[in-house]
This record gives sequence, C-alpha cells and structure tokens, in this order.
Amino acid sequence: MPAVSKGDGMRGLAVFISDIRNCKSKEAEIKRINKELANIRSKFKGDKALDGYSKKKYVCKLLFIFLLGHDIDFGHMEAVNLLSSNKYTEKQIGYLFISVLVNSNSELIRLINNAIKNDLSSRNPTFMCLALHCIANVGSREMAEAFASEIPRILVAGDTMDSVKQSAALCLLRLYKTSPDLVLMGEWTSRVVHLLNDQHMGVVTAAISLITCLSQKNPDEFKTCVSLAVSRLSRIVSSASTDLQDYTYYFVPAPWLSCKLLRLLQCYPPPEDGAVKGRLVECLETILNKAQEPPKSKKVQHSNAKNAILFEAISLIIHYDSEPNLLVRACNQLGQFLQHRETNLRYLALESMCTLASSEFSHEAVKTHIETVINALKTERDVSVRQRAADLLYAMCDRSNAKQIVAEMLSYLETADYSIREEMVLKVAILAEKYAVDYSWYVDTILNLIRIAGDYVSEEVWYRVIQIVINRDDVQGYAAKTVFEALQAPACHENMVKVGGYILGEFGNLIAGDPRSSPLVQFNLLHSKFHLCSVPTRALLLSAYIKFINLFPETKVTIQEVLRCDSQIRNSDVELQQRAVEYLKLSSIASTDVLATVLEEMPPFPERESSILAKLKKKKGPGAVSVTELEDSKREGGELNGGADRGPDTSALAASNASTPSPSADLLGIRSAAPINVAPVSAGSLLVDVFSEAGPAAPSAAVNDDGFLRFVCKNNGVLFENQLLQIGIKSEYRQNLGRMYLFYGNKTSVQFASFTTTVSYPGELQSHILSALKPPNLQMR
Amino acid sequence: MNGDTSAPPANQDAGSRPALSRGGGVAWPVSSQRNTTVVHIKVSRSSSLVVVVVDDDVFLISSFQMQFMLLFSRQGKLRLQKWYVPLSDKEKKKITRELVQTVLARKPKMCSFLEWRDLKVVYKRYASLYFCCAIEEQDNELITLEIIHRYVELLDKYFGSVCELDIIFNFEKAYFILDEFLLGGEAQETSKKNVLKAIEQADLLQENIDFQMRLFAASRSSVGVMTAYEDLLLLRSSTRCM
Repeated sequence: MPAVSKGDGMRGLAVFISDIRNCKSKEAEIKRINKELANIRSKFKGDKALDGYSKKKYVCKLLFIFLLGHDIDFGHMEAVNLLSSNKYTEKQIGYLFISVLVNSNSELIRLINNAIKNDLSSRNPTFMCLALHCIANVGSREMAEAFASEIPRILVAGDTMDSVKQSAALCLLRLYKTSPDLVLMGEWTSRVVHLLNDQHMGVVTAAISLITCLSQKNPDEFKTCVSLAVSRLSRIVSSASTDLQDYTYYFVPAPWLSCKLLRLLQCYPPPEDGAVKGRLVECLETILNKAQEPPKSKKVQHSNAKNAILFEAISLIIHYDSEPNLLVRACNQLGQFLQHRETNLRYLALESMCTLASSEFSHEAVKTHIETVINALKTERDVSVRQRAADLLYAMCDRSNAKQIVAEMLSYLETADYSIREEMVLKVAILAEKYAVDYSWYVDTILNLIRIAGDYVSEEVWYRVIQIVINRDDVQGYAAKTVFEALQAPACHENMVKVGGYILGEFGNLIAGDPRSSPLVQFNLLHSKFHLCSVPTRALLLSAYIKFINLFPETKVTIQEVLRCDSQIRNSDVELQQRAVEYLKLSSIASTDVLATVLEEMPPFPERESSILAKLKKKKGPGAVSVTELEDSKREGGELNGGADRGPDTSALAASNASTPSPSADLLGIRSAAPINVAPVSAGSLLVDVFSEAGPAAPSAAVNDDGFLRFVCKNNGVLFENQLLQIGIKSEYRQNLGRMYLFYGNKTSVQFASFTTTVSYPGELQSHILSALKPPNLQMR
Repeated sequence: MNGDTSAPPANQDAGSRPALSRGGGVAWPVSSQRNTTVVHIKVSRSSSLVVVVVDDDVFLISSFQMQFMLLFSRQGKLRLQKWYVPLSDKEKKKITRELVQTVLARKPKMCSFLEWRDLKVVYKRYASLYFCCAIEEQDNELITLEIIHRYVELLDKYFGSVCELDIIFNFEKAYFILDEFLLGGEAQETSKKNVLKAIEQADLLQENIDFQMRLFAASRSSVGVMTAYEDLLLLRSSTRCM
C-alpha cells in the first residue's frame, strides 16, 4: 500500500501533505499553509508561464488546503485553464477543483461552461464523462441553462457509449432537481423509458433513478415504465446467482437495481393490467419467500443486501395497501425481525411497522406485537431503537390498548432523552385525549405528564386539558381534587401551578366543602407558590384570586390584603400591576351580583381541531398522525373539544390558514393541495402562512361563508373547501392594478377528468379583467 | 468566491435547517437570477417532497437523495467530504462539526442508523475511518450501508489493502473513484469490475501520454528509449496486479 501517490504521483504534493501531518500544533500548520499559499500565489502571478504539471500540482495543493478547512480565494482561473489541457489528469484536477470550490463569478462560469461544452462535443468518452460528472457535481442554474437541452440528446443518441449514457442520465437528474423548469420533456422521454431494457446494467441503474424522479411530475409520460420495470424485476428476482455475474453482490442478484426498481414502482399505483399485476405479486411473494430461506453466505453484506430488497418490497406492499395477504405476510416478517439478533434489523422492522400500522388491513396484525415492542422500549440499549419503539406504540394505539400504551409511554418519558421529550409529551397528550373513555383518566394522565416532564409540556397541552375540563361537567370535580393534591407536592412544576390555579379558580368550589380543601387552604396553597413563578403564571394566579373572591366571600379580606401590598400594586411588571390594581378595585366597589356576572364560570370552548394535533403535525409532518387517527377523528367529529388559543390572533390564524387538512382528506391528498397555494418568493409571507401556521381547520362540509368576507381585508386564503376540492385565492394589488390567482387543489387521490372552470364577472368589470387559465400542472396520485 | 449560488438567505441561522423545515416548508432561492425557490415539505414521517417553484410554476420532485458523504477519522479529522446538495461553506462546516461529534459519541454495539435533524444517517466504521452518509427519509438504509461497503471495496481494490494514509495522500483519487460509482448521490455503476476499469483506463491514458513524451525526449539515445519502455512495462504490470 503505497503511501505516496500512485501513477502520476505529484511528489511536491506528497511532501506538502507530509509536512502538514508532521506539524506539531495548529499554529505550525497554519504557518506552513500560509507559506505554501504565498509560494503558490507568486508562482501563479509569476512571469514564467507554468507548465501543465506544475499548475496541476499547485491547484491540487490549493484543493487540499481548502479541504483541510481553510479558505481559498484564488486559483480558480488556473483551475479553469487546466480544463482546456489535453492531458486527462490535468483536466481531472481542474474539474475537481471547480466542483469543490464553486464560484459564482460570471466570467469564470462562462469559461467553465465553454470548457465543458468542448469536452461534451469531443466524442472522447472519458472527457465526456469528466464533463458530465462536473455538471452533476455542481448542478448550478447556469450550467442547467447551458446544457439542459444537450444532455438528453447525448443520453438517447445511438452512438453514445454506455459509460457516458450512465453519467448523462444521472447528470440530467441532478439538473432536473435544481432547475426543473429547464429540463423540458420531449422526444427523448419515450426513449429514456426504453433504457430500462438496455442490456448494460449500469445504464439501467442510472436510467431508473432518472425516471423515478421525472415520473413524479409527469406520471403519464413515463407510465409505460411500470410494465418494463416489473418484467425486469421478475427476471432479476428469479435469476440464479451466476446469471448476472459482476452485478451479483455476495450471492444477491443486482441488489441496487432491484431496490431502485421497487422504488420506481412506488411512484405509481398498482398496475391495472392483470398480467403485469400478477407478475408483480409473484415477484413480491418470491422476495418474501427468499427471506425465509437459509442464507447463502454468513457475511453481513449478503444479509444486508437481501434484506434491503426485502424492506423495499415491504415498502411497496405498504404503498399499494391493497393486497391483504401480502400485507399480513409483510407484517409477520417484520415481527420476526423485531426480535432479531442484529440491532439494525430490529430498528428497521420497528420503522417499517410504523407505516404498516396505519393500514387498515394490517393494523390488527401489528397490534399483536405490542408486548415485543413494549419490551423493546424498556430494554433496548440504543436510544434510536427505543425511539422507534415509542413511535410504533404511538402508531398502533387504539381504543383497545390505549391505557396500556399511555402508561408505558409515561414511564418511558421519565428516562427519555431530552431531545425527544417534547414530541413524546405531545403524543401522550394526543393519545390520552383521543382514547379517553373516562375523562378522569385523561386528567390524571396530563397531570402526570406535567409532573414527569413539566418543562416539555408546551402550552397547547395544558390549554387542552383546561378546555376539556371546562367543557365536561363530569370531570370538573375530579380535576379540582386531583390538581389540589398535585399542588401539595413540595416541588411542583410551574405548569402544574398554572393548571392548578386556573382549575381551582373555576371549580375550587366543588371541593371547598371538605375542610382539608377549604377556600382558605386552597388560597394559601396557591399563594405559597406565587413567588416561585414567572410573570405569566403570576398573572394567571391573580386572576384566580379574584375568582376566589367571587366564589368564597370569606376569603375576600385575606386576598385583598395580598392584592393591596406593594409588591403587587407597585409591581414593576405592567401586567401584574394592572391586574392587581383592577382586581382590587373590582372587589371593593362591585356588588356581589356584578362580581358574580363578571367572574361567571367560563363558557365551554368551541369545538375545533385539537391544537395539539396541529402542533405535532407542525413538528413532524401530518403523517406523524396515523391515518387511523385521522379517520377516527373524522368519525368522532365534534365529540372532542378543540380550540386554538383564545388570543386575539385566532381569527388571523383561521384566515391565513390556506391548506390545513380537513380530517377527511387522505394524507397525500392533503399535501398536494398545499403546493398549489405556494406563491413565488415575493410572497414569502404566504409561505409562512401556509406552512407554519397549522391552525384550526375548517370543517370539511361547508362553504366558508365568513371566509368570503375575509377577503375584504386579506389578500390570500382559502375561498372554498370540501372533500374533493380546495380553492385558494392569492391576490396582489398595486395602485390601480390588481392580480388575482385562483388555485384549484385536488384533494382526492384520483385525477380530475375534464376539469373546467368558468369565471363570471359582474357587468362592467368584464372589460377590465383579463383572465387566463393555466393548464393543471400538478397531478398527485 | 467559495460561496454557493444556492445558499439560504443570510438572515437564516446558517448551518442549521431553518425551523420551517420541521413539518413546514423550507424556502430558499436557488438562483439569484430567477425567482426560484426550493421547498422541502414533510408529508409524513416516512416521506417528504421537494417542491421547486419557479416564477409561477410548481414542480414536485420526490425526495430520494443522498445528501452528503463524509469520511472522518476517530479524532474527528475529515478525510473526504462529498456534498450532493447545495449548501454554503458555513453550513457545511457546521453540519460536519455536529455530525462528527454525534457519530463519534456512539458506542460500538449501537445500530448503524440514527436520526439526525430531519435526515437519516447511515454510518460504519472501517478500521480508523468512519464512513457516514446522510440520506433522506424515503431512502433505503440497508442499501446505503452496502453502498458504503462497495465504496470501501473499490478503494481497497484500487490501492491494494487501503488504509487511511492512502486516502490522505491520494485524496483526489478517492474523489475520482467515488464519482465513477456515485453520481449526484445515486449509484450509477454497481459492477466493481466496470468501475475499476474506468479508473484504470484513465490512469493508462495518462501513462500513454507520459510515455510518449518520454519516448520523444529519450529518442536521442537508444538507452533512453529502452528505459522508457521498461518503465512503462513496470507501470503497466503493477497496475494490472490490483
């Protein structure tokens, strides 16, 4: 193993690298580097033109210095010069330099693009590959503009060499990802699909990646790839290990190719053609069968490759969600992996099962593994595995096992990693609310949550418990009692004080009969925590105190004393001071009737989507909420109480909510509606509105009548929404000109056929308005 | 200068994904010339979408993407960094620093996958080097593990029992080999033989040119010519030995 460069060894470079390695300290290293930089700078500026070899050597040194972590601000010109050299290694170093140190100087970009163009048209496959690699590595917009039309031609030309085709396919993919508008579909698309039948496996491998990405946007153009992919896949899966020769990896035939084919198939719904579908199902069954066979090799690479295919096949089965037999088999296979020796497999099994849990066919099958999962949660040493187990428990939770799961999650929470606590808290809160048959259990759970992980209990969680307690008469007494007991703990989390203060303020009368929780006792309990709390909590407590005065006239004097003292009415915080002063006055001058009216019990909160759910979605994406959950909430509809913060910005939230899903829309459909309302960069605020405020959703049925009025003062938002369609408006007005966009979002999982729109204008406006309909450019499956 | 045209706007917390990316959309301009924004949307736990908005057009791009590959030693020194998504230098440094720390803190028996920010990280240690790939939610972890293994096999075959020193002193070769195997984060050629053949061809190409030059230079004396031929034969046979 040579420690010095092979082949075209650059001695100087090797020496330089040795010097750096031998530097004893950071300062020595920097000194040596600066010395070299000065040397290189002088050489570059020097009168003598450098020969190719030296240039290459210095550019390589600069690259090395950059990769060490130091900034380089010269050398680009020389690197670009290297590109025009005829020597392969010089070109190579030049390309490497410019793809690592990307430069936005337009002159350099022009030169680089020229060099690339020359190499692409050179007919020398090695040079062409170099150029294509560079484009794929940099993928800048300027390169896309220059080459996006050229590369498809190279890709499908008959005389292109296989190695060049491979690189061209992936290069095009990269360009498409960064500048999709510049890669136009054309004649080449059908020929690209036929690359799937190419005899060179490398070409097929590269082409699949390209097609997978392109078909997301243009599923129709590429839909012929499905049957080709299926036949290719079944050929590979049924091949003997000697057939594919160098593409066999540790006795597994073409694992990367298989995985990519399976991934491509996940971009399309199940094939309609019976024969194709049959073949595919057969394929999947073969893959599942192979998993049961004894391994052909003890090496971990063999099992990894085999299982990679298996997991991808399971993903496909889950995606189709239509073959109960396969789903159950997949579930059983994963169940076996749950207890495998290898941690990796246990981790992946837990992960895959999460998605399985949301399918109605396999939900029950998943639930049978609950004990194993709970055990994993308790005993796994790897925190990532434990976390997956927690996720799976959340996904598989339903009425039958909710209590058990919530209990397990609570005990896990006590020792969980800090980084995941907030998410866990939200999940426990959601589960507790969703599956609570007995709301006293719910109250207990939330209070436990606050006790265990108070710091991570966000506002939404404790707002929610209060909303529920307010809305449900039967649990109010229990809540008051429990909260009272919880507050007696010596070290009590501030959130507990908040909840306690509010609940006692509203319902303290329900437990006031018992001498142990008489009004004065309650007040003293609360007030003992007063000085430990932050300002917002104290504000809440002051409100609770005035409520006490209303509920328990016997406490009036004591409380007034407290309100009257300097630390309240002269408090430096404006809010506290104001409250103290006003409450004091209110309690002194108002008659009991007036007081009772002012401080009447809180009315029930209006029912809306749980803000906790919204917050969890915001954290993790709406799929974190399992489909079962959404369906349940659709059925239960108004049973649960919801409500966003009752602050003054609620209406703004509702108005700006352009795409929060209504419970009845399917997951993928939800997000397909979302991008429609995405506006160009200039309306950055719209993006914020759409995506960061997952506020309460409009109920699925109605036209938003009040939504219409909203547009008097708002420019953007949802005009109409039902189960099938969402119509959003975005408008901008400048002086006497206005522009209005109407976006139609398809919320179903099928395509609309013959979708037409008509816009009618009242009277005179007809002549003032130009309208244009853009063809639907977004089709989601 | 060294900046990307695709860096997030300066006022964002450089180096970390802007907060909107958790379940919301991340938007940053990919080009200063056009109104282009790339938005990453988390659809569900196991899938996210990339939406590119150019002026008024919206493009949906699936998000299977290896984001980057890092090789670093047990002391945390970076030996190779390959980025498949546009990021500013500052972000790259931050990501590197944080990820290296996270991976180095893992114990030996732990599984090879971890969730980091909103990516999945697949890593494996070979002797003194950690090979680390960051992939997106929809990608297949096990196959990525085998991508890493295949890359190590390629290096091994090329250098003959590769060790960290080889990668340090021949860093440019490590990049070239990687490019022949993975392009844009996707495997392009999964036959070991073909990848190595491509690299060898390039080496040979260089030799031929060198050889011809030396031949020319040595054509004055016959001894020189013979030496040139012998050298070439030696070089050729050592290359074939791999």
